[in-house]
Amino acid sequence: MNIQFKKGVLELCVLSILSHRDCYGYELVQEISKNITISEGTIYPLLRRLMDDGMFTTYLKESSEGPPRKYYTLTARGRQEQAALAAEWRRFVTGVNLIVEGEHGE
Amino acid sequence: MNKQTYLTQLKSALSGMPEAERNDILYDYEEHFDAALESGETEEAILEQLGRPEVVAKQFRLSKVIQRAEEKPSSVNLFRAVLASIGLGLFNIIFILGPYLALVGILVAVYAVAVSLIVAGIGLVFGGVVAAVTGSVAFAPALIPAGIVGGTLIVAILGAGVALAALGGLIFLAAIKLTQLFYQVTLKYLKLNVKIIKQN
Repeated sequence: MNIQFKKGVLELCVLSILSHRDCYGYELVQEISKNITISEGTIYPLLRRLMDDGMFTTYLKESSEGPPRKYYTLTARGRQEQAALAAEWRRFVTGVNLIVEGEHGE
Repeated sequence: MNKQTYLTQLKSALSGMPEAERNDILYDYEEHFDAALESGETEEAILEQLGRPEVVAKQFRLSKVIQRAEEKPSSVNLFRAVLASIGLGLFNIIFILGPYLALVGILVAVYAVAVSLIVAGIGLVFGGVVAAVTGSVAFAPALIPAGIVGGTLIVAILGAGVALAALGGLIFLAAIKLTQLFYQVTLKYLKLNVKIIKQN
């Protein structure tokens, strides 16, 4: 499989969640680990890299309890990237499904 | 270990990073702790999920040095990225580092060959010019018995010099291309490893 593609999957997850709504770090981790197993400590280095790449910005918002939380919000560039990765992902899944269901062979 | 000791250890593991960035990272982890505690997770479970502070710090460092090596290509930055990877145990010392250093050696050798060819070529051209001016071929008496004399000899020397220098130049250009390729492949390899460790 394309290395760039593999690398993109976790990025795609992060960007997709953020394309629906702004989240703080722990929320993102929860959303992802609900569905796939990840090492939680490693999501923060990824978030930092994506932010350095200009995919999203952050703002602080008060929480009901405790100190304010850092929310991540997608930039226009982040939305573009999400759309591109999502399209690539769909193409890939469609291709694999065709092979798995054997529509080529019969 | 508890939240405080974890954050203290992470802080010291991140030493050397710019202050603002370090505080930013610590803020993220503290927030993570608070939010997780609030949602009912135990401190123990959170600590286990986060992974050891040294490993976390190394990941931040590695993505940073790789990023720097990509933005500002230089052998020093590439070297730092390789070193950071060794620190994470990503760069398999026996199976990868040995052949890797051998490749570096070959690259250096190619450069050396190119430079010597260029120097030799320039030397010959220079010698040819001197011979033409002084009318003497004393610097290369060995060529005389071969039957080459006078103007022909000088033309031959000049031609050989230009050819050698040109060949050296071509090899030099090829070596530069090879170096660029080598650089990119190294970074690709390091990034691939970062991804693999993250998926474990």
